Amino acid sequence: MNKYIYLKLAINNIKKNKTTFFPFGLSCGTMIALFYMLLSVNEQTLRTDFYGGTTMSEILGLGLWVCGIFSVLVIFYTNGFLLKRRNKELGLYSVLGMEKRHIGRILFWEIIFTGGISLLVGLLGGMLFSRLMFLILLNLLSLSTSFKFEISVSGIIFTLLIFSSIFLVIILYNNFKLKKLNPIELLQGSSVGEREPNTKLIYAILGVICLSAGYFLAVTTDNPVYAIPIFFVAVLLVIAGTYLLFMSGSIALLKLLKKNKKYYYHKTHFMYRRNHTNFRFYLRHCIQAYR
Amino acid sequence: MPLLKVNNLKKVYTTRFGGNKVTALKNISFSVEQGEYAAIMGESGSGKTTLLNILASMDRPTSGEVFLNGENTVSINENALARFRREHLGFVFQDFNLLDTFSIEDNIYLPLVLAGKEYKEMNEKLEPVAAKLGIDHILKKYPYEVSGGQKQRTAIARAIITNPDILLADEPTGALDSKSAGELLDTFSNIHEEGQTILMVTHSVRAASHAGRVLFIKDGEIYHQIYRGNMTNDEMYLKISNTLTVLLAGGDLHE
Repeated sequence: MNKYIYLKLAINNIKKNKTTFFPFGLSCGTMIALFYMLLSVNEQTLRTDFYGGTTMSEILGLGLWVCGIFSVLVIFYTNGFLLKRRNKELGLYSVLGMEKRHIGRILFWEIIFTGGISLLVGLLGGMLFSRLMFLILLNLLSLSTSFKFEISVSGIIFTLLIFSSIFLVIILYNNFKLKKLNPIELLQGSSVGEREPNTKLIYAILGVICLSAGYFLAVTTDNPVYAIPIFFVAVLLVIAGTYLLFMSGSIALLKLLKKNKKYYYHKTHFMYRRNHTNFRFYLRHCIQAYR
Repeated sequence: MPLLKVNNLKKVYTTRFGGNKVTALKNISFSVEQGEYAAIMGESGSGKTTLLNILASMDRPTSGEVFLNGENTVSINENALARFRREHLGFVFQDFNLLDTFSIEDNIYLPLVLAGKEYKEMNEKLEPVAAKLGIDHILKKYPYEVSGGQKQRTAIARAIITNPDILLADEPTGALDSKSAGELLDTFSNIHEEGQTILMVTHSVRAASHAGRVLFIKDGEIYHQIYRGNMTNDEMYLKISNTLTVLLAGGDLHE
């Protein structure tokens, strides 16, 4: 059998499914650019050596963690979305006689390609904007420095390492998902639909606790400089809290609206509430706004 | 030796919780000879799609055997199954299952591409098949640009371009208007006359009346079967609908 067939099929798939791959690549690229910018600004801060520089870099280091965790969430979400939309196609491959390990190989190449391109574009974008970010930072602190375009090699290597491993995990996850499915399910996969999830009270309570604890920590610290670790914990708590609260809250709200028949069967409202999974999309905006 | 032989097939579905058992198929035994055009008829929920899925090696029976060319497909392991499907089976679905992102031509090529064939060989195979099915003028178009009948003929082209031992069709006229359905059934008759073995699952009397033999399935069991003999399509139609009337009335019909 032709060795490059999977490679060709993968490239062909990406070309023909532009509309699904583009958002995936875009979100990966954006996260990569953000990550690199943080790293690079951090390095430049340390090198410039101004008053409070070490504290600044400590904060940036924590921001890096948050950005990393967030990247994993975003990339996993868009990947899941991508996979779901293509269930029928993959099922058809299986019915027409492609073994699962071969489908897995196609998925592998697809991720390698989109991942590779988004790494390239993300890093380039990051390089362009990192200097700008640093200048804005200095301007905010009313400091001046000579303008010099620098590329952080260690930053590039570190970004490459982190995101390559995220993509690797994505590949493993896709293969695991593929193993569990049979062709009939794959073919019907896109028509199975999403079952309406149950309201999980425990999530809602946990969410409220996390969120209020997070904001409480953030507000009550007197000296932000000495409280950086606390601040970090607060950010994590808020992320977790928002996630949990949205997950349970959106479902509870929709259930409540559904009870009100007059509202539920209104023509426009009826369309809006179908999109349960979109809550994660809103979540992203919430957290990004916070940051 | 028959091409396809089914022995005592049984399929029991167990719901995920509760352990509620539903018997979808029981005591199914029949065989299909080389070059035959057989139809399986039944109401919705009679188990005909389950049967076809098992024959297509996409689902496994609870017990029983399916022999294709003397090979027991039930015992083939999962990894070899895909290859088995590729080499021996052709599928036509009710809702076409064409990929919208591929042109008609690419859709037909798909099984050959998956089998790793050379382009020259694929192209040589495409021309006669496309001409026979009357889709040679729309090869460059996309599925959303052509009619339902043309889509289904594309699906047939995709199924027979690999020269399968048996063509399995699941309600192939289900999504078509009556004119396209008629044309499609003629297409099936034509490729059958050229020697293609066909097994069709349907609940349309008209579709079944084109077949050489009709098996009736009810509540998961083969209930009755009629042979065409020398009957015309119209006579066959009448015979099938009479049989269905008796079946639906709940009468016991055992010859």
